[in-house]
Amino acid sequence: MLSNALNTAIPNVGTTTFRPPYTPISMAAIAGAARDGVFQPLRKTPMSDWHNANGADNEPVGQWRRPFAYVRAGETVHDAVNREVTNARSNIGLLDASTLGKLIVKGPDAGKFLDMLYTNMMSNLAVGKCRYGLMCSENGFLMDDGVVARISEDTWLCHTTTGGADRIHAWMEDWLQCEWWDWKVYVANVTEQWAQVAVVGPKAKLLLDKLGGMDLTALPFMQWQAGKIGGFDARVFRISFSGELSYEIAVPAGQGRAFWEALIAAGEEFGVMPYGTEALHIMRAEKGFIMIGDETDGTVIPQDLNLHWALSKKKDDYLGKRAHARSFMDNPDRWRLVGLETLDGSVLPDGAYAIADGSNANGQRNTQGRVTSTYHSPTLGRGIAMGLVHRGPDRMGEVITFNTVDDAKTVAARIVDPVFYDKEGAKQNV
Amino acid sequence: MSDAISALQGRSTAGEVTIREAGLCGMITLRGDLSNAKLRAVCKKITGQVFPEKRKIALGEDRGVAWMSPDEVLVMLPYAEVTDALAQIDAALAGQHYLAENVSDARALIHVEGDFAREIMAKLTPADLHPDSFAAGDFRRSHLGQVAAAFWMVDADRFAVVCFRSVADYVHDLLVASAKAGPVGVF
Amino acid sequence: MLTLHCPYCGTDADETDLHAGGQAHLKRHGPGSSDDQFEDYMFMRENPKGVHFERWRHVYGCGKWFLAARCTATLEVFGTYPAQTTEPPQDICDKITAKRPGWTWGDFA
Ligand SMILES: [Zn+2]
Repeated sequence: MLSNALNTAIPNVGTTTFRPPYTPISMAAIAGAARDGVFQPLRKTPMSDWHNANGADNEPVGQWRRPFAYVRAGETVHDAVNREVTNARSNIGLLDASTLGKLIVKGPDAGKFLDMLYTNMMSNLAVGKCRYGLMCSENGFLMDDGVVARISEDTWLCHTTTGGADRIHAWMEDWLQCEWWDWKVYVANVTEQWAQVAVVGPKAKLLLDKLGGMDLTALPFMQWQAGKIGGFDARVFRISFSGELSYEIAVPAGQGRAFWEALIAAGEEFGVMPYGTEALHIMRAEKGFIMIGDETDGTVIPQDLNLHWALSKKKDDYLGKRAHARSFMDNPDRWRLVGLETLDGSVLPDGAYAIADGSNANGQRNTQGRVTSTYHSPTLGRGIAMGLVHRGPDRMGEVITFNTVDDAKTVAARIVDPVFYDKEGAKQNV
Repeated sequence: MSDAISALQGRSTAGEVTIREAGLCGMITLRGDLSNAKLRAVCKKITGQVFPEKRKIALGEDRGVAWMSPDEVLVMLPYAEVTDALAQIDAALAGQHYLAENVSDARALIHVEGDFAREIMAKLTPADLHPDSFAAGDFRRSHLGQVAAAFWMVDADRFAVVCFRSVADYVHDLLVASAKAGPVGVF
Repeated sequence: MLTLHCPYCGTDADETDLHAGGQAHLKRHGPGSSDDQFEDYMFMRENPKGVHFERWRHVYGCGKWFLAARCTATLEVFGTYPAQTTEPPQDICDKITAKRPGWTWGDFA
């Protein structure tokens, strides 16, 4: 190609500038043992074998394989997802949440350290309580979220996203070693020490009471407690990513498989069913909860997602605070999170752009927003979506038009509140 | 307490070199000031071992202490004794800045046993495993294939490998593949 | 393959045991700093052909961050040192001067 373009014979084109070493080696030598079954590591939770023996249709989440849905005979994957959502909202669903990151942060300066890492306050969280927190990069962009639990006077447990476990652990070590090296804080990544199960749905407490061992009546929303559940060593976190009554229960990984099977067996009379990541996503979208990687893409700040409440005004500093003061960040003229309801009830195409009048300097159609999450909601029987729309929250009720892969076809959708289901939050307190 | 199971439940693949998961093993991550006398004393009390130097492991029959980093050691002991050991550490170091966490369930311990165990390992890690550089008593954190691992030599023909629980299958299969491919004859 | 000596655990670590962390000796500018200071901190980087100071983490080893002085053109490593410092230690600077007289990098020489 180059010789054509330069109108020169191939030998005269020359080669690229090699850096050492430039002795040719075979692809097999580069691959080494990395082929067949060990081509890449696949990470397994303590319950992965159970999932695979019970119809799991897996999806990759980093190197993990997580059940997307548990498909029964005669069902499509879509049928299975709808069944799992409906069952969790009416009976009980079980989610293997073991992959979520768990970082122990301990020391006399741990509270001060977490106040720098999270945009909201963590130092004043009471022992026994949980708080949802956001982390931003120094550039101000949202990079992770999760529930933090205060374990003791000098110890916090930070839950991260699945993808964030190693990344946020490294992020913490970086700041502790390279910036605040005189702060007395130790961090340990205990993600794999625990198998974690979300027990979700209106009958969740009935199941846990049947297993027995802990008085959950005394455990309010956003608190945690350690003890025994059905003979298993457990930490029970009353937190909810589905909007339902929900307990996330951590047991030592070695007891994970047995604990899962105990929940399945004891839950039969209450209609317990495992659910996968797609049902998880749909339920959180029905509640308008954001997902790192869907609503965020490395260019989104908390303000874009209407999370101003999580940006502490009491703190002089936290990672990302300076960036939030930049003129184009501290500005209402941004694409911001809204709910989207198609007029015809259809499911908006994922990633679709909302078109605007006119075209840009390159002759491309102008845009005014895009879809970040879109699902068929079995609870509402229609398509629901979230998206980032130019000045979106100021435009409630307005109808905007989204493109599709079919050039001739567009879809009209109304800008609405992103909380589609149980706006009062009554269900998580049944 | 419900009976705990290890990641591979003792899976063993026999051959010229045998790859064998060792089953449940108690492990505690202990971070703190490693020069602190109380910290050293409680490690000795739990394991019976002299505190290890940098990049070394002090090993007994079923207990040991491994040097992980300038502010971290791995304390190994029988699985059933971890809760007691954590209580001993907490009592010994009360009022000091330290972190002690049970990581027994987060890890898998795999043994590589046989004539050319050294070469099986050397094929999978960038660490220098020449007999002049690595022998019994040495401890190394590096990677095996594509995952983090720590390892040491139990004796001339036996390596012990610690990896994360989620990749125990991968590490087992990787070691089996390396064993199956045979010796290289470098060492 | 690049090999760097980890000043914490004393291992001569292979590149695949390490994680590169970009330029060393950045000064953090937080709330209250000017736009220019913040721009410097976030975005402006040295890009020399020659002497460079970098952050590396012995990620698969002892987990510690350290700093390295090396030549981006020849890959020669002048030395490594702990991350808990705001400027390169004198002995490292002397080593560089012996091999690259007149070198400069940011505010250092
Ligand atoms: Zn090191």
